[in-house]
Amino acid sequence: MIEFHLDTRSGVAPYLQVVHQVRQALRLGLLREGDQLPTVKDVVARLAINPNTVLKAYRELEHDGLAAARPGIGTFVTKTLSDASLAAHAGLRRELLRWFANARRAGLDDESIEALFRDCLRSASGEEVA
Amino acid sequence: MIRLTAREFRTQAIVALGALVIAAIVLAITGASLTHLYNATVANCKMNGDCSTATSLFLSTDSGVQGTLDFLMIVIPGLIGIFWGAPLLARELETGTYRLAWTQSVTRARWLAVKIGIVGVSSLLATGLLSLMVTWWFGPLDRVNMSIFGSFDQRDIVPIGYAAFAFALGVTCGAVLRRTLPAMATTLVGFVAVRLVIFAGVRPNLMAPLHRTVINTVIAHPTFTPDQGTLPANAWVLSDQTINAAGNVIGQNGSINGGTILSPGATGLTIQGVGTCPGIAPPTPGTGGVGPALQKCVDNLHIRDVLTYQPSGRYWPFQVYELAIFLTLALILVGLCFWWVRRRII
Amino acid sequence: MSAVLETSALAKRYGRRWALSDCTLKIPPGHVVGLVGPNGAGKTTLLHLAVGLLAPTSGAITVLGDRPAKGATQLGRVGFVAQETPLYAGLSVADHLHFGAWLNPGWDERLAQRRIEQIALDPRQRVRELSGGQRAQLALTLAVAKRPELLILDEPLASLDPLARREFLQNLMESVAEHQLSVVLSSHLVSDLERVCEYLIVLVSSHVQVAGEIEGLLASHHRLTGPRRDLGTLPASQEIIEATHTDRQSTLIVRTDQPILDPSWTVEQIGLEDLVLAYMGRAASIRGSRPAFLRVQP
Repeated sequence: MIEFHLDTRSGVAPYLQVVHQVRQALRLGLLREGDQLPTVKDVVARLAINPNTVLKAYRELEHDGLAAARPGIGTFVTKTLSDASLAAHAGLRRELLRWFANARRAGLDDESIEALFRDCLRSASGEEVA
Repeated sequence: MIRLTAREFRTQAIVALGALVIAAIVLAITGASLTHLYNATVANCKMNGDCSTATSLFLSTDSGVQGTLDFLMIVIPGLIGIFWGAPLLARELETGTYRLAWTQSVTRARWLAVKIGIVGVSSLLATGLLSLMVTWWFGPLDRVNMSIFGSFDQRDIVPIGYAAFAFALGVTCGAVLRRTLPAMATTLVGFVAVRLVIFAGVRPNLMAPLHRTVINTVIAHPTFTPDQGTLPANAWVLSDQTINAAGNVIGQNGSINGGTILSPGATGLTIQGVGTCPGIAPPTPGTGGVGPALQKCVDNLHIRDVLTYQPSGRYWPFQVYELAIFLTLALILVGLCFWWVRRRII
Repeated sequence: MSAVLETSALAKRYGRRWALSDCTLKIPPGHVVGLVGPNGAGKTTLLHLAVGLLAPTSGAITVLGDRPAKGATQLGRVGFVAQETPLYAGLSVADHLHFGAWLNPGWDERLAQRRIEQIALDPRQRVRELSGGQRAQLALTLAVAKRPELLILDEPLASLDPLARREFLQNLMESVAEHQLSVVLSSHLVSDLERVCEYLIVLVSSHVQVAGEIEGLLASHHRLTGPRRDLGTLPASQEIIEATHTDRQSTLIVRTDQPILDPSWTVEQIGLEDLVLAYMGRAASIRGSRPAFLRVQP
């Protein structure tokens, strides 16, 4: 079971934050197929948000085929996003950390590192699409 | 709703019940000895030959208790109005709890009916029980005292009417003023005012009073009590006017306006403003020597006392009428209160 | 299903002062509705009209399809937590639960007990010994355990510290999730309502300024920044809520359902707080009869 959190200052709609957090957890392998998502009541009682926000997020997940509601029981994960690539995570993570260390040695601050990272990610995605 | 009101009213009810129980115990003990004393002294004073001493001694028995009871009977209806009636709605309105009470699944009218019903009926019961005990306790004394109208307000059923009225007045003041202390003060003033108006203005005329004309004995015997002794026992004398032969009022209570002045002269004794009694000298204080002669003269001059009074037989009709008046006033106030709470506090 | 709250030209006058005027609203069921406005705007008046503590001077109001406080049944369908959460200071927590049970045929004793345990209240404690947060929680328990269809709360958070606020809202939202309640709650702070409400009514100086689903409101309001220009040249579909100018630049908050095509504008999303403040500012400037919301800075 995972726990949600909410950042009201981010400007991102609360239901989208919930969706992102589920997707994130699926990617990182924290959630797997068959796992139960927190009940609406639990989420609401913890975050003090409107139940409809949670319902909307779960509907979105169902629509994406990531979760399914079992009436009277709860909402369950129906798909795993991490799959085989999860095994590669450890190595990639190590390499990335090393790269960050190099960048910092080269005098880049966090903001510059993030900008560079995003720029590279964007051009890499562009190349793939092209 | 009934249980709620019972819960809210619990403390006050316990206090009232406790006070009643204490009163009952005290009155039972002192009342029994009072009855015993009555039987021992007053009841057979004729055999012993000295009734006036026995009577006055008996009437001063337990004078502390007597005073306390008379005082309580006068103030308790007012206290009920001030401490049970006035806060009943005022406190809810003042502290805002009416917003809690009136948004439960009970209509405002029912809420009010139960509150007024329970506390109101308790008020009447408490006053009625106390009055019953006090009336019983005073029984022997009242029989001796021969002044049932003198303790009219403190005996039998009228205190119930006063309590009902005071309570309804308190509740209504609380509803209208919405604050406890002003409601209490207004209740006190209103209750006293209405009681005085009914006492002085209405009660003497509940039935047309009777009149009786008697011979004036006060002029000839200044030390005597007024001439009301000639009335049936327990009558309530509203006025005692001295009139002359022409039927004009010349004084009150057997005396002549400005004081009875007897001045001796050549022709005899002149009763100032009335006439002359030929051939008698003024009475010498203490001797009463001219008493009979002067009395004869007063009779000849046709000086009479006109007594206006309510006979003792009207005591119970008056109790019922006055109770009815106060209960009617109470009902009108309760009706006003319902209308106000349902239509005006909005 | 009928609207939870429907008013038409509703107005309430105290003496010569109008506390609420020309209020026309229709709130669909199943929402958590926020009623925002500065203190004295008429929020309490509107809510008291909805629970039948007040009667309208003119206009009409129906709650769940019926006249407010029409009878015991209608009273039972609406739960109310009044401002400053009035409770009987001398009575205990348990007394209040009895109070609720005795006065409400639909009373859910198990729910009440569970909630009292959950918020860790000692049933024997007298209300005058409770903290503001505990009082609010007890009042909420009383209102929820009568199992209403609509719950109305008047500034429930105003006197609570941040932790108590969060706990209160958690509890409230849990009840909403559990019992499918419709809720109307008022506050003078938008930040209180942002997380929990999906429908918003802005009430300023006795008039409803704007009402609607928050998502829709946020989607239809935009902040436009661009070179200074005459406001008369804007398309008719754009309603100006707020406009400020410097000698070079104009900044507008506009409401429109249509895309903004003019390329000279930089279009930005606005947050709920800014949206509400824009309406409050507009209402205040109209009331002050200052020449409009055109605050010109030289």
